[in-house]
Amino acid sequence: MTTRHISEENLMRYICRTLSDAERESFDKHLSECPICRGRLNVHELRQRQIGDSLESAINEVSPSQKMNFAAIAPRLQQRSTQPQIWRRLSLATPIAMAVGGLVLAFFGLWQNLDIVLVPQLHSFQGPLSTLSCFCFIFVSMGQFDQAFTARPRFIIMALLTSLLWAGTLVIGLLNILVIRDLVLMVYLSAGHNTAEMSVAAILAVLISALIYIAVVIGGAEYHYKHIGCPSSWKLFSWTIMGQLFIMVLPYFL
Amino acid sequence: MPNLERLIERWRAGDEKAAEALYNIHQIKVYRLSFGLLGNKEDAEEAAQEALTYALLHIQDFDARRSKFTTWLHMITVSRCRDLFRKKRLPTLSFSAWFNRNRVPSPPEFSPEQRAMQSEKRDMIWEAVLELSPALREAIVLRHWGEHTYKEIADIVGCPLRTAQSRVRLAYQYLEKSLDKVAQERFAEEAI
Repeated sequence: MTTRHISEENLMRYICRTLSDAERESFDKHLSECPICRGRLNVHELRQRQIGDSLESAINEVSPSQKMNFAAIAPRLQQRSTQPQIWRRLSLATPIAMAVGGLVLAFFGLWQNLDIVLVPQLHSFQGPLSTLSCFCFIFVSMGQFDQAFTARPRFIIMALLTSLLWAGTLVIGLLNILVIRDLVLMVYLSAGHNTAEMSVAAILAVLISALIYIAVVIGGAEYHYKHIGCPSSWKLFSWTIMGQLFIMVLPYFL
Repeated sequence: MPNLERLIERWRAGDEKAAEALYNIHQIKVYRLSFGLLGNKEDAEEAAQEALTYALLHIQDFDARRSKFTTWLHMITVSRCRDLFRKKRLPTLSFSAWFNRNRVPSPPEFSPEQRAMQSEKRDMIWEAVLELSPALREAIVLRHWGEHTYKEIADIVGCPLRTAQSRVRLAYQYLEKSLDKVAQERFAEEAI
């Protein structure tokens, strides 16, 4: 007889039918030989039946009041959208177009700022295009978050949007590193430090933000890949881009 | 029951009678799902009406090739329940809310007479269900009461399949622990 008993977690997975075929087969074999685990399984099954029955009877005994009827919502149904198929397709194309547009703007924004070299003079960060791209991405991710519960687009569209948004956060992340470097330079300039100190501080700032950037890029890719089309993924995109936008507009306030 | 697909087609073409039939077929199930998720009759009614209205208004978005109508409708219902739950949690600026702030929130759902009639164990389990986090409650209600598959639960709540499976398992584990705890307390009381 096998002496190693099935863990509580695996017993629950057995009852909930979430085991793989191989696992289930091995547990079936163990259960046929082990009266202790069989007894534990019976107790769990009995409790689950009780839970199920109680839940069912508690919910099934309530009924809606007289106020809840079709007549109460009928006037609102008059606003039903009768837009033709072409407009519906266009409304689906809008987030894709916005995401592509945002990505192009983000690239242009990066291009504008790439030639800025580390100089002692305070230079100005060219932010309008990048800021605009952030707004495009926020529009897309928030719009999808709202849609995620009702009319989810096809998987291929969600995967495309996720890829575009992820690429967008990548480009804006690079811009964020430039902004952080500029902010450090601005702080050092205002404090009247010498150029050597400024350079070291700027390089350090770039290094630290680059490390954070790499962690966010890899972690984000993994998370979004596992949650394509899920509300949590769109929500994370919204928060990420809002954070990036915040860093982007900081120079305007300093 | 009239053919569901036919009713959907008729409502898409603008036949209000078909909308009414669709409403009547799903009204009770949507209401009970909302009640299972919110634990309050008034809120459940509000969420159910919102969900049914939204579904009927956006009937063009329903794609029978991708999901069953019930799954789609339950997805909307869960979303409306979450909205309501979120709204109730936010602080309100109304004077009535301000003056009533010390009152105990959410009165017991069943009257004392009803409670007396119900079995003690069922009450106990239902209370434990209401104590679950919204995510776990959604999972257990959809699985046990809605009889949805894990795949459908994942689609409805918008999470990966394995997360849906874990949520159902965690909800069971929590409810079993609650049952054990109460049984132990009762045993201790009887011993005294």
